[in-house]
Amino acid sequence: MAGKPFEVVVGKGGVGKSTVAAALATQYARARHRTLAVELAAPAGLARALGVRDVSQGALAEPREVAPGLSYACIDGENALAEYLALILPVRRVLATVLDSRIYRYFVAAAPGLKELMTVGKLWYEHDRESDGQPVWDRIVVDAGASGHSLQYLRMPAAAAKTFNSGLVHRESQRILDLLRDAKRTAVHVVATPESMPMVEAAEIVEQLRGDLELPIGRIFVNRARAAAPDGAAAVLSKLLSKPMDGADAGLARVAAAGQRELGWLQVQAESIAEFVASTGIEPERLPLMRVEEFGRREVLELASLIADPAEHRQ
Amino acid sequence: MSLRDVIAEHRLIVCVGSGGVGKTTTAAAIALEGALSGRRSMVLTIDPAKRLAQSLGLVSLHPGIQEIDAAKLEAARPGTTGIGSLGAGMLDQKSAWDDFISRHAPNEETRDTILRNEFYQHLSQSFAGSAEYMAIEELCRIHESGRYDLIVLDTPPTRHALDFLEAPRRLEDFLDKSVVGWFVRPSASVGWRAWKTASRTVRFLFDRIEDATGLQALAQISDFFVAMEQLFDGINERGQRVRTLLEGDDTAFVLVAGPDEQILGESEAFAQRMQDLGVSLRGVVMNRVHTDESLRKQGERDEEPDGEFVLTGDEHIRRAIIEEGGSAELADWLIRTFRDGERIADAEDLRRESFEAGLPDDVARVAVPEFGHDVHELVDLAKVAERISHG
Repeated sequence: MAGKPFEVVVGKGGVGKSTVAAALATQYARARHRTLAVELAAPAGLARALGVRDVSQGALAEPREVAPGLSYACIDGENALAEYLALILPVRRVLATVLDSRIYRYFVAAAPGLKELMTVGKLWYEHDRESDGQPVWDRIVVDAGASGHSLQYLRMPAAAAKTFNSGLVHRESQRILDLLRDAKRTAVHVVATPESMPMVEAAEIVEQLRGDLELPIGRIFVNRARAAAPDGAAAVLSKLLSKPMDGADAGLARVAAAGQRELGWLQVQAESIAEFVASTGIEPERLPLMRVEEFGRREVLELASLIADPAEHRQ
Repeated sequence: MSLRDVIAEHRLIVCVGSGGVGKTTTAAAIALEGALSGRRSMVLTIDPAKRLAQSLGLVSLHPGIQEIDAAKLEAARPGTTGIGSLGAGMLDQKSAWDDFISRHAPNEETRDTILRNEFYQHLSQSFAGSAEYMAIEELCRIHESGRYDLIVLDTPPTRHALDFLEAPRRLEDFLDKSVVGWFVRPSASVGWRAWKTASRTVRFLFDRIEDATGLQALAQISDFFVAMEQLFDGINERGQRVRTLLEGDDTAFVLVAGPDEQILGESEAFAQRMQDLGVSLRGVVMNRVHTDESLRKQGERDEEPDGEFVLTGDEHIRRAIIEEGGSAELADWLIRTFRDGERIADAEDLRRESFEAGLPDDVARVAVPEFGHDVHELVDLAKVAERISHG
């Protein structure tokens, strides 16, 4: 699994983006790529999926190694902007005055997309960072949050390049845009679960990536995909469910009901994926539903192995 | 108080919660329950799934509130008498902002200046919290129209699901007259550069920002505020009314959650935050729960002394499945599917119990089981509604 230097994971809320981002990052690190996994705004799902402990604010802007070759960072636009200002305002006292001033707070809130832009700029900085003439990171994997928000981040460089038609922001935005649109360096992965709403949203994301965003589409993951039922399940279940059952059959009745529910979800899965394929022409990769009480680090590692070999789990 | 009472005793229900928990479906079901119990009810939603939107009679690019056909409502729960009405509306952020400006602008010239301003165009689409503010704004308008006895608001998905509660305050901060004055007054006379003389630090900062952004962007911002200033009185008064409405006795907040560990974690933080903000959380709807509460209520699970429901023996069940023509593989699959489900349901129960133990006593709570398919049709919604109001 080669991957790209800069990868972004997007999808509807609750579909397991953080899990997939963590699995991808874990797998790149296993393949001996120096990998940085990034979460935006505040430590949440990705930190949990990577088993990052004691996530307190502020301590995370700097990448922290969480496993051999695998680092984690949380990038927040406001901190990134403060960091940037520290570069241009080297006098600490002046900087503190500025950051505390109402007009600064106001400007940060008012300038549309400034926080998103600074976030993307910080990501760009990490991508470009070198040490002894070598890039610090081979792979950066970004868990970009719910799709509304993540597409906003991805849209920002283009919007900024357009809004600011001259000056530093324009030039920087253009450089970031060049990176994002370069299929050799960037991939945007889309995650969904095999249900109607998430799959429709995934198709919409694909459409936007192909359309006005013009960003390279990476892999499409259907997370929590169910394995097919054995042959004849529907016929046997309908016989069982139509049979009169007495108290002694209560267990059987419940097993049959559970089987029927499972078939219902399998049908939803088949329909929603078929609809996605029809509208995008892309056959997604499936990641299996793990029926565990508590989804933890072990499951992430298992997914990482599955993600490593796309052929193995493609159905 | 049950969730049914919470619905019955309030005129505004605001559904909040993390993304992907079924907020839209829950909001629609609550509104439907209101309609089926005889009220003039409506749901205001942000971005419904296509098929749910169709069931609600919402067609995209069709603004305004659509009333659902009375015959369809009756078919949703056959045999119901004294049905009210159900309307549904979809919020389009961009046009909501444009309408808002149009309503409050003192004249056409001001309106057009704002609508054409580039800064405004970005603001109306990407200012964090603006979708949230517009949702509340619409809610307030519909409420004041007096056309409905029950209005249910489906809030926008937010990363931490907290932005919504702070949206009105943020918008007021954003449009704070005294701060805006720094931008506006000098610019009205001698251009936006003048206010930079106010402070050396500010001047320095803005010189840098000017270098970085090019001059045009700041000039646009300044123009925007000059035009907006004429709208301030209207907006401030509006903000007051919105707040009064949200904090009033007519309004109930319902938190929509799910038994997944991450969602429960977020929901816990959310419930806490609501308490801190003084917002009255009146109900929690736990969606897609795997435990079958109805069986539990019938006492079937309590037949055994330790409270655990015990299968009548795998062998018996295997035989029955094979007798009906199933393979041994199918029998194993069915039993495994059932056992996996039970195991996960038990783990969920523990998590839910500890979450619910942390809620204030007077918060109504209800669990809605996983249905085995997506919920789109009014008939399905009516079933969800039934669960929500009767547990």
